[in-house]
Amino acid sequence: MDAAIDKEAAAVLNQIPAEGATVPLLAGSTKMAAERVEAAVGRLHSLRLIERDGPTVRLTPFAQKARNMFSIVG
Amino acid sequence: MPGRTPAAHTLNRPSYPVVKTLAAAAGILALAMALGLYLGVPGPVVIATIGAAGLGALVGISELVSRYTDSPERALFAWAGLLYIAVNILAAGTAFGLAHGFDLLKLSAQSLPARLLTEALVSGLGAMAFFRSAVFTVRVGGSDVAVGPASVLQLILNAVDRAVDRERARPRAEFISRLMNGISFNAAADVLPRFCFSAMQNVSAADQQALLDWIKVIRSDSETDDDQKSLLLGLRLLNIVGDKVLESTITGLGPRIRLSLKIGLGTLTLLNQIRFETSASPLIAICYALAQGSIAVDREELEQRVAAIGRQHFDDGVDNSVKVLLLASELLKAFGDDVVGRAVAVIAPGLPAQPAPAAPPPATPAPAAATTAAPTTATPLPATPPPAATAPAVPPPQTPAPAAPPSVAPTTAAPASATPSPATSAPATPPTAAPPPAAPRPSTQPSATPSSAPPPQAPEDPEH
Repeated sequence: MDAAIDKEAAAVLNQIPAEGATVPLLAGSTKMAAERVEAAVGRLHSLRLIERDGPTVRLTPFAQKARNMFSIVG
Repeated sequence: MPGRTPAAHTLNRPSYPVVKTLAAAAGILALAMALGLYLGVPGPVVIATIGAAGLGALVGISELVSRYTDSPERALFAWAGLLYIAVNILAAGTAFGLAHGFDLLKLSAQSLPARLLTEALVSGLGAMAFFRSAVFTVRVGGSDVAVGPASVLQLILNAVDRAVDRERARPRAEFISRLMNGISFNAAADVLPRFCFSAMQNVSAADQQALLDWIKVIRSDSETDDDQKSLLLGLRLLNIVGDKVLESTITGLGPRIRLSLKIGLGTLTLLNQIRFETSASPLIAICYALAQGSIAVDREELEQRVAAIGRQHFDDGVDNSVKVLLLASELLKAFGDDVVGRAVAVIAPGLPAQPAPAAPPPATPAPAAATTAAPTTATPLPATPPPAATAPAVPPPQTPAPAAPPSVAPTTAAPASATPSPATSAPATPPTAAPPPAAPRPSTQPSATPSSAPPPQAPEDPEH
Protein backbone atom coordinates (compact mmCIF):
# COMPACT_ATOMS: atom_id res chain seq x y z
CA MET A 1 0.00 0.00 0.00
CA ASP A 2 2.79 2.37 0.95
CA ALA A 3 4.62 1.59 -2.26
CA ALA A 4 1.55 2.53 -4.26
CA ILE A 5 1.16 5.79 -2.38
CA ASP A 6 4.83 6.58 -2.86
CA LYS A 7 4.56 5.86 -6.56
CA GLU A 8 1.68 8.30 -6.89
CA ALA A 9 3.44 10.79 -4.66
CA ALA A 10 6.50 10.65 -6.91
CA ALA A 11 4.30 11.16 -9.95
CA VAL A 12 2.72 14.19 -8.32
CA LEU A 13 6.10 15.52 -7.22
CA ASN A 14 7.39 15.32 -10.77
CA GLN A 15 4.43 17.34 -12.01
CA ILE A 16 4.72 20.29 -9.67
CA PRO A 17 6.13 23.22 -11.61
CA ALA A 18 8.59 25.66 -10.09
CA GLU A 19 5.91 28.29 -9.56
CA GLY A 20 3.67 25.82 -7.72
CA ALA A 21 0.43 24.11 -8.60
CA THR A 22 -3.01 23.42 -7.22
CA VAL A 23 -4.55 20.05 -6.60
CA PRO A 24 -6.95 20.26 -9.56
CA LEU A 25 -4.06 21.26 -11.76
CA LEU A 26 -2.03 18.31 -10.55
CA ALA A 27 -4.99 16.02 -11.00
CA GLY A 28 -5.14 17.15 -14.60
CA SER A 29 -1.45 16.76 -15.28
CA THR A 30 -1.13 13.40 -13.55
CA LYS A 31 -4.50 12.09 -14.75
CA MET A 32 -5.24 11.01 -11.19
CA ALA A 33 -8.40 11.50 -9.19
CA ALA A 34 -8.40 14.56 -6.96
CA GLU A 35 -8.58 12.54 -3.78
CA ARG A 36 -5.59 10.46 -4.80
CA VAL A 37 -3.69 13.62 -5.58
CA GLU A 38 -4.70 14.91 -2.15
CA ALA A 39 -3.33 11.78 -0.53
CA ALA A 40 -0.14 12.11 -2.51
CA VAL A 41 0.17 15.77 -1.60
CA GLY A 42 -0.37 14.89 2.04
CA ARG A 43 2.32 12.29 1.81
CA LEU A 44 4.78 14.66 0.17
CA HIS A 45 4.00 17.31 2.72
CA SER A 46 4.59 14.94 5.60
CA LEU A 47 7.88 13.96 4.00
CA ARG A 48 8.78 17.67 3.84
CA LEU A 49 9.24 17.64 0.13
CA ILE A 50 6.54 20.19 -0.59
CA GLU A 51 5.19 23.28 1.13
CA ARG A 52 1.54 24.12 1.10
CA ASP A 53 0.33 27.67 0.88
CA GLY A 54 -3.41 27.78 0.61
CA PRO A 55 -4.45 26.18 -2.63
CA THR A 56 -0.93 26.14 -3.88
CA VAL A 57 1.68 23.48 -3.30
CA ARG A 58 5.32 24.16 -4.00
CA LEU A 59 8.42 22.07 -3.90
CA THR A 60 10.76 22.70 -1.02
CA PRO A 61 14.14 24.05 -2.13
CA PHE A 62 15.67 20.66 -1.36
CA ALA A 63 13.10 18.79 -3.44
CA GLN A 64 13.45 21.33 -6.23
CA LYS A 65 17.19 20.73 -6.39
CA ALA A 66 16.75 17.00 -6.13
CA ARG A 67 14.27 16.99 -8.98
CA ASN A 68 16.67 18.92 -11.14
CA MET A 69 19.39 16.37 -10.47
CA PHE A 70 17.54 13.08 -10.33
CA SER A 71 14.61 11.21 -11.66
CA ILE A 72 12.48 10.72 -8.56
CA VAL A 73 10.63 7.43 -8.39
CA GLY A 74 8.19 6.01 -5.90
CA MET B 1 28.65 11.38 -16.43
CA PRO B 2 30.64 13.63 -14.15
CA GLY B 3 33.39 12.37 -12.01
CA ARG B 4 34.50 9.59 -14.28
CA THR B 5 38.06 9.44 -15.30
CA PRO B 6 38.88 8.00 -18.69
CA ALA B 7 41.44 5.75 -17.09
CA ALA B 8 38.73 4.12 -15.07
CA HIS B 9 37.01 3.05 -18.24
CA THR B 10 39.75 1.68 -20.39
CA LEU B 11 40.34 -2.02 -20.40
CA ASN B 12 43.47 -3.31 -18.73
CA ARG B 13 45.94 -3.90 -21.49
CA PRO B 14 49.31 -5.61 -21.36
CA SER B 15 52.20 -3.19 -21.42
CA TYR B 16 54.05 -4.50 -24.46
CA PRO B 17 55.50 -1.47 -26.17
CA VAL B 18 56.22 -1.85 -29.87
CA VAL B 19 59.90 -1.12 -29.31
CA LYS B 20 60.27 -4.06 -26.92
CA THR B 21 58.51 -6.39 -29.32
CA LEU B 22 60.66 -5.31 -32.27
CA ALA B 23 63.80 -5.65 -30.18
CA ALA B 24 62.82 -9.19 -29.18
CA ALA B 25 62.13 -10.10 -32.83
CA ALA B 26 65.46 -8.66 -33.93
CA GLY B 27 67.23 -10.65 -31.20
CA ILE B 28 65.60 -13.88 -32.32
CA LEU B 29 66.57 -13.20 -35.94
CA ALA B 30 70.16 -12.50 -34.96
CA LEU B 31 70.29 -15.71 -32.95
CA ALA B 32 68.89 -17.71 -35.86
CA MET B 33 71.43 -16.24 -38.24
CA ALA B 34 74.30 -16.92 -35.86
CA LEU B 35 73.13 -20.50 -35.39
CA GLY B 36 72.82 -21.02 -39.14
CA LEU B 37 76.29 -19.66 -39.82
CA TYR B 38 77.73 -21.70 -36.97
CA LEU B 39 76.26 -24.84 -38.52
CA GLY B 40 77.88 -23.93 -41.81
CA VAL B 41 74.73 -22.93 -43.63
CA PRO B 42 75.40 -20.22 -46.20
CA GLY B 43 74.24 -16.75 -45.23
CA PRO B 44 71.65 -16.32 -48.01
CA VAL B 45 70.03 -19.63 -47.08
CA VAL B 46 69.77 -18.58 -43.44
CA ILE B 47 68.15 -15.33 -44.50
CA ALA B 48 65.71 -17.17 -46.77
CA THR B 49 64.85 -19.53 -43.92
CA ILE B 50 64.13 -16.61 -41.66
CA GLY B 51 62.03 -15.09 -44.43
CA ALA B 52 59.96 -18.25 -44.79
CA ALA B 53 59.53 -18.49 -41.02
CA GLY B 54 58.53 -14.82 -40.96
CA LEU B 55 55.85 -15.52 -43.54
CA GLY B 56 54.54 -18.30 -41.34
CA ALA B 57 54.54 -15.97 -38.34
CA LEU B 58 52.62 -13.35 -40.31
CA VAL B 59 49.97 -15.87 -41.32
CA GLY B 60 49.54 -16.97 -37.70
CA ILE B 61 49.44 -13.41 -36.40
CA SER B 62 46.90 -12.31 -38.98
CA GLU B 63 44.68 -15.24 -38.05
CA LEU B 64 44.79 -14.35 -34.36
CA VAL B 65 44.25 -10.65 -35.02
CA SER B 66 41.17 -11.31 -37.13
CA ARG B 67 39.85 -13.70 -34.49
CA TYR B 68 40.10 -11.32 -31.50
CA THR B 69 39.11 -7.99 -32.91
CA ASP B 70 38.49 -6.06 -29.70
CA SER B 71 41.98 -6.62 -28.26
CA PRO B 72 44.24 -8.59 -30.61
CA GLU B 73 47.37 -7.97 -28.56
CA ARG B 74 45.89 -10.00 -25.72
CA ALA B 75 45.65 -13.04 -27.99
CA LEU B 76 49.10 -12.49 -29.43
CA PHE B 77 50.80 -12.38 -26.06
CA ALA B 78 48.84 -15.13 -24.35
CA TRP B 79 51.00 -18.26 -24.00
CA ALA B 80 48.67 -20.19 -26.29
CA GLY B 81 48.83 -17.42 -28.87
CA LEU B 82 52.62 -17.48 -28.78
CA LEU B 83 52.53 -21.26 -29.18
CA TYR B 84 50.24 -20.90 -32.17
CA ILE B 85 52.62 -18.46 -33.83
CA ALA B 86 55.61 -20.68 -32.95
CA VAL B 87 53.95 -23.68 -34.62
CA ASN B 88 53.40 -21.63 -37.75
CA ILE B 89 57.02 -20.47 -37.73
CA LEU B 90 58.27 -23.99 -37.20
CA ALA B 91 56.10 -25.35 -40.01
CA ALA B 92 57.23 -22.71 -42.47
CA GLY B 93 60.90 -23.08 -41.52
CA THR B 94 60.73 -26.86 -41.78
CA ALA B 95 58.97 -26.67 -45.13
CA PHE B 96 61.71 -24.39 -46.44
CA GLY B 97 64.40 -26.73 -45.16
CA LEU B 98 62.78 -29.69 -46.93
CA ALA B 99 62.12 -27.76 -50.14
CA HIS B 100 65.67 -26.40 -50.31
CA GLY B 101 67.51 -29.45 -49.00
CA PHE B 102 65.79 -31.94 -51.32
CA ASP B 103 65.23 -29.45 -54.12
CA LEU B 104 61.57 -30.38 -54.13
CA LEU B 105 60.74 -27.54 -56.50
CA LYS B 106 63.45 -28.58 -59.02
CA LEU B 107 64.97 -25.10 -59.08
CA SER B 108 68.65 -26.05 -58.96
CA ALA B 109 69.16 -24.69 -62.46
CA GLN B 110 68.04 -21.22 -61.36
CA SER B 111 70.23 -18.56 -59.83
CA LEU B 112 70.58 -18.81 -56.03
CA PRO B 113 68.60 -15.65 -55.21
CA ALA B 114 65.72 -16.68 -57.51
CA ARG B 115 65.72 -20.20 -56.12
CA LEU B 116 65.78 -19.08 -52.47
CA LEU B 117 63.10 -16.48 -52.99
CA THR B 118 60.76 -18.92 -54.70
CA GLU B 119 61.37 -21.65 -52.12
CA ALA B 120 60.84 -19.21 -49.24
CA LEU B 121 57.54 -17.97 -50.66
CA VAL B 122 56.22 -21.39 -51.57
CA SER B 123 57.24 -23.03 -48.30
CA GLY B 124 56.13 -20.08 -46.17
CA LEU B 125 52.63 -20.07 -47.63
CA GLY B 126 52.48 -23.76 -48.53
CA ALA B 127 53.15 -24.91 -44.99
CA MET B 128 50.14 -22.92 -43.86
CA ALA B 129 48.00 -24.50 -46.56
CA PHE B 130 49.24 -27.92 -45.51
CA PHE B 131 48.48 -27.31 -41.85
CA ARG B 132 45.01 -26.12 -42.68
CA SER B 133 44.11 -29.13 -44.76
CA ALA B 134 42.25 -32.23 -43.67
CA VAL B 135 42.36 -35.75 -45.05
CA PHE B 136 38.74 -36.35 -44.23
CA THR B 137 35.98 -35.07 -42.02
CA VAL B 138 34.25 -37.07 -39.31
CA ARG B 139 30.88 -36.18 -37.84
CA VAL B 140 31.13 -36.44 -34.07
CA GLY B 141 28.23 -35.55 -31.85
CA GLY B 142 26.53 -33.48 -34.51
CA SER B 143 29.60 -31.46 -35.45
CA ASP B 144 32.16 -31.93 -38.22
CA VAL B 145 35.68 -32.72 -37.11
CA ALA B 146 38.51 -32.38 -39.64
CA VAL B 147 41.01 -35.19 -39.42
CA GLY B 148 44.45 -34.25 -40.64
CA PRO B 149 47.06 -31.58 -40.03
CA ALA B 150 44.31 -28.99 -39.56
CA SER B 151 43.19 -30.67 -36.35
CA VAL B 152 46.59 -29.93 -34.77
CA LEU B 153 46.25 -26.21 -35.37
CA GLN B 154 42.60 -26.32 -34.36
CA LEU B 155 43.56 -27.78 -30.99
CA ILE B 156 46.01 -24.96 -30.40
CA LEU B 157 43.46 -22.40 -31.58
CA ASN B 158 40.94 -23.78 -29.10
CA ALA B 159 43.53 -23.38 -26.37
CA VAL B 160 44.08 -19.78 -27.47
CA ASP B 161 40.33 -19.22 -27.36
CA ARG B 162 40.09 -20.47 -23.82
CA ALA B 163 43.18 -18.62 -22.62
CA VAL B 164 42.09 -15.33 -24.13
CA ASP B 165 38.51 -15.71 -22.96
CA ARG B 166 39.61 -16.46 -19.44
CA GLU B 167 41.87 -13.47 -19.38
CA ARG B 168 39.53 -11.07 -21.15
CA ALA B 169 36.16 -11.98 -19.67
CA ARG B 170 36.57 -10.24 -16.34
CA PRO B 171 37.99 -6.90 -17.51
CA ARG B 172 35.47 -6.84 -20.34
CA ALA B 173 32.57 -7.39 -17.95
CA GLU B 174 33.83 -4.74 -15.52
CA PHE B 175 34.53 -2.28 -18.29
CA ILE B 176 31.12 -2.68 -19.85
CA SER B 177 29.27 -2.52 -16.55
CA ARG B 178 30.98 0.78 -15.77
CA LEU B 179 30.64 2.18 -19.25
CA MET B 180 27.01 1.24 -19.81
CA ASN B 181 25.87 2.17 -16.31
CA GLY B 182 22.95 4.58 -16.65
CA ILE B 183 22.68 4.21 -20.42
CA SER B 184 19.17 3.98 -21.80
CA PHE B 185 18.93 0.93 -24.06
CA ASN B 186 16.17 2.40 -26.18
CA ALA B 187 18.03 5.64 -26.79
CA ALA B 188 21.38 3.91 -27.29
CA ALA B 189 20.04 1.22 -29.61
CA ASP B 190 18.90 3.86 -32.07
CA VAL B 191 22.01 5.93 -32.29
CA LEU B 192 25.03 4.27 -30.65
CA PRO B 193 25.73 1.54 -33.25
CA ARG B 194 25.42 3.92 -36.18
CA PHE B 195 27.64 6.44 -34.42
CA CYS B 196 30.27 3.76 -33.73
CA PHE B 197 30.14 2.43 -37.29
CA SER B 198 30.51 5.90 -38.72
CA ALA B 199 33.45 6.54 -36.44
CA MET B 200 35.12 3.29 -37.51
CA GLN B 201 34.73 3.70 -41.29
CA ASN B 202 35.72 0.12 -42.08
CA VAL B 203 33.15 -2.02 -40.33
CA SER B 204 31.77 -4.41 -42.91
CA ALA B 205 28.18 -4.10 -44.04
CA ALA B 206 27.58 -7.67 -42.92
CA ASP B 207 28.76 -6.93 -39.37
CA GLN B 208 26.65 -3.78 -39.24
CA GLN B 209 23.56 -5.57 -40.46
CA ALA B 210 24.10 -8.48 -38.09
CA LEU B 211 24.19 -6.10 -35.13
CA LEU B 212 21.12 -4.16 -36.29
CA ASP B 213 19.24 -7.44 -36.71
CA TRP B 214 20.29 -8.50 -33.22
CA ILE B 215 19.04 -5.19 -31.83
CA LYS B 216 15.66 -5.76 -33.46
CA VAL B 217 15.41 -9.15 -31.80
CA ILE B 218 16.49 -8.06 -28.34
CA ARG B 219 14.34 -4.94 -28.44
CA SER B 220 11.27 -7.12 -28.65
CA ASP B 221 12.48 -9.39 -25.85
CA SER B 222 10.23 -8.54 -22.95
CA GLU B 223 11.93 -10.86 -20.48
CA THR B 224 15.22 -8.97 -20.47
CA ASP B 225 15.18 -5.66 -18.67
CA ASP B 226 16.65 -2.49 -20.11
CA ASP B 227 19.77 -2.54 -17.95
CA GLN B 228 20.68 -6.02 -19.16
CA LYS B 229 19.95 -5.05 -22.74
CA SER B 230 22.28 -2.10 -22.41
CA LEU B 231 25.06 -4.35 -21.13
CA LEU B 232 24.55 -6.82 -23.95
CA LEU B 233 24.57 -4.03 -26.50
CA GLY B 234 27.82 -2.74 -25.02
CA LEU B 235 29.44 -6.18 -25.23
CA ARG B 236 28.35 -6.62 -28.85
CA LEU B 237 29.73 -3.25 -29.81
CA LEU B 238 32.93 -3.89 -27.87
CA ASN B 239 33.58 -6.93 -30.06
CA ILE B 240 33.26 -4.86 -33.21
CA VAL B 241 34.68 -1.44 -32.44
CA GLY B 242 36.89 -1.99 -29.39
CA ASP B 243 36.94 -0.21 -26.07
CA LYS B 244 38.40 3.13 -27.06
CA VAL B 245 35.94 3.86 -29.84
CA LEU B 246 33.02 2.65 -27.74
CA GLU B 247 34.04 4.77 -24.78
CA SER B 248 34.65 7.90 -26.80
CA THR B 249 31.37 7.43 -28.65
CA ILE B 250 29.39 7.07 -25.45
CA THR B 251 31.15 10.08 -24.00
CA GLY B 252 30.37 12.01 -27.17
CA LEU B 253 26.71 11.12 -27.19
CA GLY B 254 26.52 11.98 -23.50
CA PRO B 255 23.10 12.94 -22.22
CA ARG B 256 21.39 11.90 -25.44
CA ILE B 257 21.62 8.29 -24.44
CA ARG B 258 22.06 8.59 -20.69
CA LEU B 259 19.24 8.16 -18.20
CA SER B 260 19.04 10.57 -15.33
CA LEU B 261 19.91 9.00 -12.01
CA LYS B 262 16.95 7.44 -10.25
CA ILE B 263 16.31 8.14 -6.61
CA GLY B 264 13.49 6.79 -4.49
CA LEU B 265 11.16 9.04 -2.59
CA GLY B 266 12.18 7.40 0.69
CA THR B 267 15.88 7.86 -0.01
CA LEU B 268 15.32 11.48 -0.89
CA THR B 269 13.40 12.11 2.31
CA LEU B 270 16.12 10.56 4.42
CA LEU B 271 18.80 12.54 2.64
CA ASN B 272 16.92 15.67 3.63
CA GLN B 273 17.77 14.88 7.25
CA ILE B 274 21.48 14.36 7.15
CA ARG B 275 24.45 16.69 7.24
CA PHE B 276 27.16 16.25 4.67
CA GLU B 277 30.08 16.77 7.02
CA THR B 278 29.07 14.10 9.48
CA SER B 279 27.44 11.65 7.08
CA ALA B 280 29.62 11.43 3.99
CA SER B 281 32.27 9.04 5.29
CA PRO B 282 29.91 6.74 7.21
CA LEU B 283 27.60 6.59 4.21
CA ILE B 284 30.39 5.46 1.92
CA ALA B 285 31.47 2.82 4.40
CA ILE B 286 27.93 1.55 4.88
CA CYS B 287 27.27 1.49 1.13
CA TYR B 288 30.38 -0.62 0.56
CA ALA B 289 29.35 -2.94 3.35
CA LEU B 290 25.82 -3.31 1.98
CA ALA B 291 27.08 -3.86 -1.55
CA GLN B 292 29.01 -6.89 -0.27
CA GLY B 293 31.95 -6.47 -2.57
CA SER B 294 29.94 -6.51 -5.76
CA ILE B 295 30.98 -2.98 -6.68
CA ALA B 296 33.75 -2.31 -9.16
CA VAL B 297 34.11 1.35 -8.22
CA ASP B 298 37.40 2.06 -6.53
CA ARG B 299 36.73 3.18 -2.98
CA GLU B 300 39.68 5.51 -2.76
CA GLU B 301 38.63 7.23 -5.96
CA LEU B 302 35.08 7.61 -4.68
CA GLU B 303 36.30 9.03 -1.38
CA GLN B 304 38.44 11.54 -3.22
CA ARG B 305 35.47 12.71 -5.29
CA VAL B 306 33.34 13.03 -2.16
CA ALA B 307 36.15 14.91 -0.40
CA ALA B 308 36.24 17.29 -3.36
CA ILE B 309 32.53 17.93 -2.88
CA GLY B 310 33.22 18.72 0.77
CA ARG B 311 35.82 21.31 -0.19
CA GLN B 312 33.30 23.21 -2.30
CA HIS B 313 31.43 26.05 -0.74
CA PHE B 314 27.94 26.99 -1.78
CA ASP B 315 25.66 29.72 -0.66
CA ASP B 316 25.10 29.41 3.07
CA GLY B 317 21.45 28.62 2.77
CA VAL B 318 21.91 25.75 0.37
CA ASP B 319 25.38 24.52 1.17
CA ASN B 320 24.38 21.37 3.00
CA SER B 321 21.55 20.36 0.70
CA VAL B 322 23.63 20.82 -2.43
CA LYS B 323 26.50 18.86 -0.96
CA VAL B 324 24.20 16.10 0.22
CA LEU B 325 22.64 15.84 -3.23
CA LEU B 326 26.06 15.75 -4.89
CA LEU B 327 27.09 13.05 -2.44
CA ALA B 328 23.90 11.16 -3.29
CA SER B 329 24.70 11.50 -6.96
CA GLU B 330 28.11 9.87 -6.50
CA LEU B 331 26.69 7.10 -4.36
CA LEU B 332 23.75 6.43 -6.66
CA LYS B 333 26.10 6.10 -9.61
CA ALA B 334 28.17 3.57 -7.77
CA PHE B 335 25.61 1.63 -5.75
CA GLY B 336 22.10 2.37 -6.98
CA ASP B 337 19.08 3.57 -5.04
CA ASP B 338 18.44 0.39 -3.12
CA VAL B 339 21.82 0.31 -1.39
CA VAL B 340 21.97 4.07 -0.88
CA GLY B 341 18.46 4.16 0.57
CA ARG B 342 19.31 1.44 3.09
CA ALA B 343 22.58 3.13 3.97
CA VAL B 344 20.95 6.51 4.61
CA ALA B 345 18.30 4.82 6.71
CA VAL B 346 21.06 3.59 8.99
CA ILE B 347 22.42 7.08 9.48
CA ALA B 348 19.46 9.41 9.32
CA PRO B 349 17.75 8.52 12.58
CA GLY B 350 20.98 9.08 14.49
CA LEU B 351 21.11 12.75 13.66
CA PRO B 352 19.36 14.82 16.27
CA ALA B 353 17.02 17.69 15.51
CA GLN B 354 17.69 17.75 11.82
CA PRO B 355 14.10 18.34 10.77
CA ALA B 356 13.59 21.18 13.19
CA PRO B 357 15.04 24.02 11.14
CA ALA B 358 12.84 23.21 8.20
CA ALA B 359 9.58 23.55 10.07
CA PRO B 360 9.37 27.16 11.28
CA PRO B 361 9.18 29.13 8.04
CA PRO B 362 5.68 28.11 7.00
CA ALA B 363 4.35 29.15 10.35
CA THR B 364 3.47 32.71 9.50
CA PRO B 365 1.88 32.28 6.11
CA ALA B 366 -0.09 29.33 7.31
CA PRO B 367 -2.95 31.06 9.10
CA ALA B 368 -3.57 33.47 6.31
CA ALA B 369 -3.27 30.86 3.69
CA ALA B 370 -5.20 28.33 5.60
CA THR B 371 -8.38 30.22 5.02
CA THR B 372 -8.08 29.50 1.39
CA ALA B 373 -6.32 26.22 1.73
CA ALA B 374 -9.03 24.26 3.35
CA PRO B 375 -11.80 25.26 1.02
CA THR B 376 -9.89 24.43 -2.08
CA THR B 377 -9.02 21.04 -0.85
CA ALA B 378 -12.47 20.51 0.45
CA THR B 379 -14.56 21.87 -2.36
CA PRO B 380 -13.50 19.67 -5.18
CA LEU B 381 -14.24 16.71 -3.08
CA PRO B 382 -17.97 17.17 -2.61
CA ALA B 383 -18.32 16.60 -6.28
CA THR B 384 -17.30 13.03 -5.80
CA PRO B 385 -19.88 10.63 -4.38
CA PRO B 386 -18.45 10.08 -0.90
CA PRO B 387 -17.53 13.65 -0.10
CA ALA B 388 -17.28 13.50 3.61
CA ALA B 389 -14.97 10.56 3.59
CA THR B 390 -12.16 12.15 1.67
CA ALA B 391 -12.37 15.67 2.94
CA PRO B 392 -11.55 15.14 6.56
CA ALA B 393 -8.83 12.71 5.85
CA VAL B 394 -6.73 15.03 3.75
CA PRO B 395 -6.18 18.19 5.72
CA PRO B 396 -4.71 16.77 8.90
CA PRO B 397 -1.28 15.99 7.50
CA GLN B 398 -0.95 19.49 6.16
CA THR B 399 -2.26 21.57 8.97
CA PRO B 400 -0.02 20.37 11.75
CA ALA B 401 3.17 21.12 9.96
CA PRO B 402 2.74 24.77 9.16
CA ALA B 403 0.56 25.78 12.04
CA ALA B 404 2.49 24.40 14.97
CA PRO B 405 6.10 24.95 14.19
CA PRO B 406 7.90 24.03 17.35
CA SER B 407 5.72 21.18 18.40
CA VAL B 408 5.56 19.68 14.95
CA ALA B 409 9.21 18.91 14.71
CA PRO B 410 9.09 15.74 16.72
CA THR B 411 6.06 14.39 14.92
CA THR B 412 7.22 15.25 11.48
CA ALA B 413 10.62 13.84 12.17
CA ALA B 414 8.98 10.49 12.09
CA PRO B 415 8.03 10.56 8.43
CA ALA B 416 11.70 10.23 7.69
CA SER B 417 11.28 6.59 8.23
CA ALA B 418 8.50 6.81 5.75
CA THR B 419 6.56 3.72 6.54
CA PRO B 420 5.92 3.82 10.22
CA SER B 421 4.95 7.48 10.37
CA PRO B 422 2.06 7.79 12.73
CA ALA B 423 0.95 11.18 11.59
CA THR B 424 1.03 10.42 7.92
CA SER B 425 -0.21 6.92 7.68
CA ALA B 426 -3.29 7.78 9.61
CA PRO B 427 -4.56 10.40 7.23
CA ALA B 428 -3.66 8.46 4.19
CA THR B 429 -5.62 5.36 4.95
CA PRO B 430 -8.91 6.63 6.35
CA PRO B 431 -10.32 7.85 3.07
CA THR B 432 -10.92 4.35 1.90
CA ALA B 433 -11.58 2.89 5.30
CA ALA B 434 -14.04 5.46 6.57
CA PRO B 435 -16.87 5.95 4.17
CA PRO B 436 -19.63 6.15 6.72
CA PRO B 437 -18.74 9.27 8.68
CA ALA B 438 -21.31 11.73 7.62
CA ALA B 439 -20.59 14.20 10.33
CA PRO B 440 -16.97 14.66 9.75
CA ARG B 441 -15.84 17.76 8.04
CA PRO B 442 -16.50 20.45 10.54
CA SER B 443 -16.05 18.26 13.58
CA THR B 444 -13.07 16.11 12.67
CA GLN B 445 -10.86 18.87 11.51
CA PRO B 446 -10.81 20.73 14.74
CA SER B 447 -10.38 17.59 16.70
CA ALA B 448 -7.63 16.28 14.46
CA THR B 449 -5.59 19.42 14.78
CA PRO B 450 -5.95 20.14 18.38
CA SER B 451 -4.95 23.62 19.13
CA SER B 452 -3.77 25.69 16.29
CA ALA B 453 -4.76 25.75 12.69
CA PRO B 454 -8.23 24.39 12.27
CA PRO B 455 -10.50 27.36 12.95
CA PRO B 456 -9.84 29.34 9.83
CA GLN B 457 -10.24 26.42 7.50
CA ALA B 458 -13.85 25.92 6.81
CA PRO B 459 -15.31 29.14 5.46
CA GLU B 460 -14.58 30.46 2.00
CA ASP B 461 -14.35 28.88 -1.34
CA PRO B 462 -12.26 31.14 -3.50
CA GLU B 463 -12.22 29.84 -7.01
CA HIS B 464 -12.49 26.10 -7.32
